[in-house]
Order: sequence, then structure tokens, then C-alpha cells
Amino acid sequence: MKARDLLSACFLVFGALLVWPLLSIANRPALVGGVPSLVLYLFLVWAAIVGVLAWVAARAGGDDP
Amino acid sequence: MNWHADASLGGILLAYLLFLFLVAAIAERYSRRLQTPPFRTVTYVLAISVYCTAWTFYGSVGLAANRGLEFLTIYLGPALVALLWPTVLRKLVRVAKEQRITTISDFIASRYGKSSPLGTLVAALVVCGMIPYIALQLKAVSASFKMMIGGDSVLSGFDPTLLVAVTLGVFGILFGARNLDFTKHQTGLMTAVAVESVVKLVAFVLVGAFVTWGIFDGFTTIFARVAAHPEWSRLLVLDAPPAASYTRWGAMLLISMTAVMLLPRQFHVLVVQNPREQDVRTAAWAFPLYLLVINLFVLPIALGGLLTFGNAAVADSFILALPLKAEAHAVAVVVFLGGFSAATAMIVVDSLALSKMISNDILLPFILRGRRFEEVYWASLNSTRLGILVVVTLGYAWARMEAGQLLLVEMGLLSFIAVTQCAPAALLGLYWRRGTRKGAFVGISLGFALWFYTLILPALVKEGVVPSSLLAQGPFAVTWLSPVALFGLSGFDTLSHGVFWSLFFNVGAYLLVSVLTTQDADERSQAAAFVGGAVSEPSRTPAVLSVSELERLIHLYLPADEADEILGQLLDDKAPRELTLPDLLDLRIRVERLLTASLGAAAARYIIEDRFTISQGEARQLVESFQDMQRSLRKSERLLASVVESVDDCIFTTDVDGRLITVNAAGRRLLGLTATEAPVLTYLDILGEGDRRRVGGAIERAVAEGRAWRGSVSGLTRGRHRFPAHLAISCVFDPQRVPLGTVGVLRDLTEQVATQQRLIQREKLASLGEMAAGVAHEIRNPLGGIKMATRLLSSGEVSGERIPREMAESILSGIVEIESIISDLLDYARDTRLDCQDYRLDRILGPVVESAQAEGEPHHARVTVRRLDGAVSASVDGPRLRQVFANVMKNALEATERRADGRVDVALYGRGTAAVVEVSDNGVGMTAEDRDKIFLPFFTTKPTGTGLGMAIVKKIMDLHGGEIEIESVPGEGTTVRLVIPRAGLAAPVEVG
Repeated sequence: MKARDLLSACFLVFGALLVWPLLSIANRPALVGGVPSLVLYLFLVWAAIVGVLAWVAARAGGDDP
Repeated sequence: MNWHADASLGGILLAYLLFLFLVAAIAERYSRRLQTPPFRTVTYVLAISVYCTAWTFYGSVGLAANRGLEFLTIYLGPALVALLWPTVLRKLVRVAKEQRITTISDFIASRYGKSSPLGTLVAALVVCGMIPYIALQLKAVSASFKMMIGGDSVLSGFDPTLLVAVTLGVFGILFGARNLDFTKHQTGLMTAVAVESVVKLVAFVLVGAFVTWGIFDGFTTIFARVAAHPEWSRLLVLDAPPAASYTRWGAMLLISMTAVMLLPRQFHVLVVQNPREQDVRTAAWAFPLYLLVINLFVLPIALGGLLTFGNAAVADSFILALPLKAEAHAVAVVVFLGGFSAATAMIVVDSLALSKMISNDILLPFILRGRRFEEVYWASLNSTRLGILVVVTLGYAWARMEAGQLLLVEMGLLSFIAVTQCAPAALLGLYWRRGTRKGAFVGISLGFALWFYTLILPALVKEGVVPSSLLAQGPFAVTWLSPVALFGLSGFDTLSHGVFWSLFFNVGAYLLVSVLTTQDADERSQAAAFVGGAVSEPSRTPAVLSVSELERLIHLYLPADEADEILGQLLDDKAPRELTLPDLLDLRIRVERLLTASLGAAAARYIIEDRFTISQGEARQLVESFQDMQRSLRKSERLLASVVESVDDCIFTTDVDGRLITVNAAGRRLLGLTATEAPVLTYLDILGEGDRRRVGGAIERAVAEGRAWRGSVSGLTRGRHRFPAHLAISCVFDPQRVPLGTVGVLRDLTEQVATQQRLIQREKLASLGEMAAGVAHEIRNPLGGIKMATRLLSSGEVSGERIPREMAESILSGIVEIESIISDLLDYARDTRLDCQDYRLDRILGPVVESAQAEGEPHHARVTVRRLDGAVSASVDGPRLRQVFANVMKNALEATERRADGRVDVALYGRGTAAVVEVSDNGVGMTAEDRDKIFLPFFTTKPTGTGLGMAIVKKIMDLHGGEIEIESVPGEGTTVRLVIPRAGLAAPVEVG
């Protein structure tokens, strides 16, 4: 099923975004819009995960393989 | 705080507990409605959020204040792994539902061949890992209560923890363990847990908003103040390299990813109580969203606490201390209730799941082996209920014993890592078929041993229970055995170090031992059931269920009031006598699953294997049902046989070597076989000698490749009599496509062929008649002339010299004409053999064209050679072919006779494997009707000529195996193409 492949790929991508070394890019003592850059980064990634999952769930709708 | 406030707090606490009971009771009352789609999905998603416990309330804040952003991994891990839920979790849910699995220990035991020892091991270790976690919750309740009432209250001596623990135990018994079958939907419990998830979320967001905007001026103010602080600003980033903090970050992400699915409470709500497989998809986005929202304010509260109190050591209580300090008692009460609800939900579900493990995997094996079968259901139900109380009591005891040096969160993390030790066996076992019981056993054992050694021991050192020299110098002064730097691996924090070594040994041993050991039949069939795909071989012969034993079992192991209903469902309202063997086998599987839901896979297998025997009466029934089956099979076999026997064609079957096995009656008659003769023959023996050579190979090839073959053959009877026939053979396979032999139909065509011959004969006779008439007609004309001249001569009336001579000349010319007719006729009828040699066709055609040119000269017909390919040669009878060309040329010239611009074009060229001689004229042409008759002897459209020319052409071309193509348009001309195969004919063909 395509949605599952997409999600598996997202798992790898988001997984990479959440660990070293990519994490170190956001890990700096700076405030972005008053929010620490790492905090902002983590919550944005988090929201993106929720978004992807919600989008896939909505697209799949009530039907089921 | 005054006495009233304290008393009212106690009242609120009791009221909240009462509220929980009420919610659960009402939910049970309306359980039918709550199990419909929108409710059950919402309940499911909210219940999963039992993941957020009192730890989230107090521990997260404490961790954030001490170690910065690290706390987020506990929630980011689940959010990340939710991406795999539609794949991995759905498979987990599907398998668990199929196998009626109720706990993680049962899951692992079931996966590895329903192994009782493995289940016991996992259950014992998980319970050990989880008790501190429950203690943590109770401690949170007790600590928060103490904070709320303050030190100088009359209630300060009162600890509500024991009361809470016992109350929650009772709650679990009433709404969780009311039935032994945990796969049944526990609506009351799930609804209460879902409601608690709402309470804690609302409470957390409320206090978060209060702290952020009520006490401070929003996020940015807090962040700005902390960022400016020399010490605390480090909390907003992960420690700079060395990479230690990144590894700890990764390790925590990893353990929370597995814990969110495998923690006993998570497994219970997420997998066992899953209402519908598809709801996983909704949970996959809603649950991470819940976590995101509840975590929004953790950091502001932690940092706000630091800014307010300046001491990270008491950070666990910031969430309560902040509103209390701001004199916002209502907010504090809400926080207290939120934390309380988080703790109670966790305690209820966890103790329920753990008690199930204790009962099914630890106590039940002893009960069963003690042979006290009669009381198993009640013993098991009561041990589950007792188990709940035991678990909460143990948690309480631990909470009291624990001196409080450890931060709450560290206890929680250790529990997470403990349950992560189940992940390799459980999750790899879901995808890797080769994983064996021994591999799982060794892996889990080593994982837990390392967990204890590298994580619990250092914690105990911190606690002061174990001397700290153990860490620095290692046990017995062996430094490389130090629990925090095992084998000299240093530079990591204790947590990463412990996670690495425990998982390294766990996974390594699981894979290695699995590869080195083999699975028994039970393991193989369970591995196939979990991983999916076909069972490579049938497991050992399953015990057949006896119906009376089944009744006894159901009464023994299931509640009495449900037994009859269950029995009815199982039997599908059939009388025991009506059950067939497959029904009985199916029944056995279903009963085993039913027992699994209540007692666990290992116990269910044990009971079934141990108990099922067939009674005398049932043995008789089985024999009878077999006989019935046999009778009905025989009946349909007889029907089929009579159909085959009554068919007129020869129908036969052969084995794979082509030997005839059966031949029907018509076939035996046709082939002249006696009943016993068939087996010695193959299908080639019923073919005539020539056909055996001609098509035998093709048939054998077709059969060897599994194809069908059909074609005309000559059949051969035992009496060596040949007969024309049509044979169709096709192969027969078993369900695995293994060839079993062939089925053939041999149809006798003697009748048809005879009819055909008669028809041809009749046609021949008819054409003979036509020819005779033609000959007669042709000869009569000159004969008439001769007759008249002769009569005149004989009458003596003619005189003189000249007239008699003219008469004689006329007689002579008549005779010459007749002679030429006879010669043509002879040409047509004579000798039908060809004398073929290789000729260059232009050598034959050339002279013919030359003489035609001469012949056409007088009436201005121009004969031209359009094309003459010299290299075209063929094996032909030269003189005969010359006659063919001459006849065609003659016809062409005659057709153009009346035109002033008569033209005949000749061409010779090769076409494929044939040579073509093309003669086209612009003469009178002919109608389609004439064209059809042109080859008939004595057919002619011309005033002169015998009408045998084209008949001879046709005959000679036929002898050469050639073809004649004619295109003609009346008034415009005709093109005749003689197509001569260059190879000639291999064998002479007889033309009648």
C-alpha cells in the first residue's frame, strides 16, 4: 500500500531530523522570534509528523485495505 | 492553609475517586452505545494517552529544569514511531486479535511456540521493572497531597496513598477484572481512563497558561530571561560536543519509541483493547497531537519555576509550587487533580495488565501442574483480582521504602528501559520468521541482566544501598567490570551506557542463538501465524476435540453463566452429531483461542493438549461421519463413471509415463481391448505405425511441458486394423501442479472419412460425365464434315478431278482435328508422373516467348518481356512446364487478337520460396463466372480450341505443387500468375 510506504519513508526522514548530526544544526543558543531555536525546531518537526499522519488518515478515509 | 481547606481537599480527592467509579459504572450501563464508531475511536485515542502519567506532570518539569530539553524525547519518540503504526502496530493488533493475546508476556510466549517458561520469564521481569513505576505514581500522589495541605495541617500525619492505592485496586477489580477474558471490551474502565486523559490535559494546559501569562508575560519573556542567565541558558540547548548528550538523546528516543507500544498499560489499551484495526490510523495522528499539546507548557513551567525559586533540586514540584506561591489555590487544586488523574489512570491500567501477567504466566502454570483443574476458572479470576491488589500494595511498599534520593523521572526511565528489553523478541519476532524460543529466552535474560547491572546497580549506589566503590573500581576491584564503564566503554552517561549494553547483548544473543538453534513444530506454526505467509509444513497432528470434553472445558474454564451461550456460538447451533471432522478441528482452534483470551496462550495449549481425548460415543460418531463421507464420494464417483462409460468416444487416462490406466467401454470396443489389456499399452500404442513416428514426438513433448495436444491421427486396434481418428490429450495435475498423468479422447472418424470419400467419388463421376460430353461434342463437329464428304464421294455423283480431291482434303482436316483433340485429351489424362530436374526458368520461358512473338506478329500483338530474373531456378519437369507456358501465352494472344494494339507482358521473378511467371494481356478479359470454370476440361469461351488448354495447365501446376492466380476484368485484360515452388515437391503427388 502506498500510504504505508510513504509513512515508512517519513519515519526515516523525520528520524534523521531528530538525531545527531542534523539535530546539531538547530542546536544553537539563539532565540528565533523569542523562542529558543532548538525548541522551535523540535516542535515544528513534531507538528509536521502530526500533519503527515493526519493527511494520510484523511486521505485513506473510511475505506480499508 | 486552614483545616477547612485541608478537609475540602480530602473531600475533593474522594469525590474525584467517586466520580471515576460513577463514570465507569455509567459507561458500563451504556456500553453498547459507547462501542459505536465515533465514541469508541475517541475513547481509544484518549485512553492511549494513559502514556502520560504523573511523571509527565511532575517528572517532566523536574527533568526540564535539570537537564533542559531532554524530557521531550519521551514524547518525540512516540510521535516518531507513530509513523510506523499503520504498518507495525496494525500487524501487532491483527496478530494479537487473531491469537486472542492479552499481555506482552503472552504475546512473546505465544510467538515462540506458546512457551510457558518464556512467558513466566517475561512476566516476572516486566513486573519487576514496573513496580517502581507504580510506586512513582503513588509517591507523586503522596508528595502533591503533602504540598497542598502544607506542613502544619492536622492532616499532615495522614497519607492518602494507601487509601488511594486500595481504592484504585478495587476499581481495577470492579471494572477491569470482572471477566477473565481481557479481549472483551472493558468499556467502563476505558471510558474512565479516557475521561482522565481529558482531565489531565485540561489541567496541564490551564496551569501552563496560568504560569506563562498569569505569572510571567508570555513565552518570550521566560525564554529571554533564561537565555540571559549564565547557568540556566544551557538548558535551552543540548550540551555541546563531546557527543555524550546526543547519544543520551538518541537512546531516550529509542526506548520511548518501543515503550509506547510495549509498556504493559500501553499494550493493554493500544493492542488488547483496540476496538477496530482501522482505528490505529486515527490514533496515529491524534495521539502525537495530544502529546504535543500537553508538552507545550512543560518548558515554560520548568523555566518559570527556576526563575521564581532558583533551585532545580525541587523542580519536580514546580507545577504545584508556582500556583501555590501565586496564591492561586483553585489552579493548584486543578493541577493536583490533573496529576492525580494521571496517576490513577496509570495505576489502574498497569496493575490490571500486570496482574494478568502474574496470574496467567506465573501462577497458572503452577495451578495447572498441580492438577487442580476443577477450580481453574475461579482460581484464575481470583488470582487476577488478588494480583491487582498485590501490585498496588507492592507499589505502595516500594514508594514508602524508597528514600526519595532519586528523582522521579529516573525511576520512570529505568522502567522504560526494562520494557524495551522485550522489544527485540516481540517486534523482530513479528517480521523475522527464524527467531527461536531459545534465542528469545537468552536475549531477554541477558538484556535484563545487563539492565540490572548497568542501570539498577548505579541507581542503588546513588541511593547509598551499595557502596560507591563498585562504580569506581568495579566488583572485586576488576575495573573493566564496572557497571558504568563495562569492558572499558567510557565517555557515556550511565543511561546511554546501560541502554547500549543491554540492547547489544539482547539483540545479539537473540539473533545469534536463533540462527544457531532450530524451531520445533509449535514454534514454526506460531512463527508463521505471527510473521505471515504459508506454514512451511504442517505442525504435528492436531488433537481432535471431543464435544463432551469441550462442554466440560468450557464449564471449567469460563464463567458458568456464559458457558451455554459460548457453547451455542461455538457449535453454531449444530447438533454434535452433525459435526464433520473439519468442524471438529476448527472447534479445537477456536476453543484454544477462547481459553487464550482468559488464561494465556501457554496455559490454553497445555489444557488442550492435556485434556482432549475422544470418548467411545464420539469415536463411533466420527467413524459414522467418515462412512457418510465415503458413501457420498462413492455416489458422485459412480455418477461420473457412468457418464464416461456412456460416451461414444474412446476416453482414456494414463499415468505420467503415458501408460493407459483406464479406458471406457466405447474405447475398449474401438481398440478391441479386453478389460485387462489396457495397462500394458501406452498412448502411442493406439496410433498407427506412421503416426507414431509423425506425431509421437510432438505429443510426448506437449505432455512433458504440461500442454494439451490435438490433431488428426490414424488409430490402431489390437487386431492391427487402422482407422482414421482425432486425438485430444491433456495433462492432469494435482493442486500443487504436480503432473498426475493425462486424459485423452480418441474419436473414430471412419464414418466421416467414408462419407467424404463418397462425395469425392461422386464429384469425380460428375466431372467425368461432363468431360465425356465435351469430348463427344468436340468430335462430332469434324465427324459431321467427314460424314458429309464421305457420303458425297460414295454417292458417285461428284465428278471431275478437283471436287473429289477437295472432299478428301476436307476429310483429312477433320481427322487431323480429331487427332489433335485426342492428343490433348491424352495429354490431360496421360501419365501423371513428373520428371523433375533443376532448371533455370528463363531458359524454359525464353523460347516460348520468342515463338509467341513470332505468332503475334501477324495480328500486331506485341509480346514484351518486362522482367526476366535469370537466377530464378526450380526443380521442375521442363517439357511439361514449357507446355504450361505455351498454353498460357496462347490464351493471352488469342484474347488480344481483335485489338489493334494488342499487348502481352511477360515477367519472371522470385517471391519468397517460389518462382513466379506472370503473363498479362490487355485482351477481352473474362467474367468472374468464367474464371471459376476456366480449369474445367472442354470449357472454352473461344470459337476455336478444344477447351483443354487451361485444364492441362492446372493439372501440371498441381503436379508441381504450384498455384495459379488469375486477375481479370472483362474488356480490360487478364493477368495470370503461375507460382512454382522452387524446391519442387519432395514426394510425387497423385492427382486423380
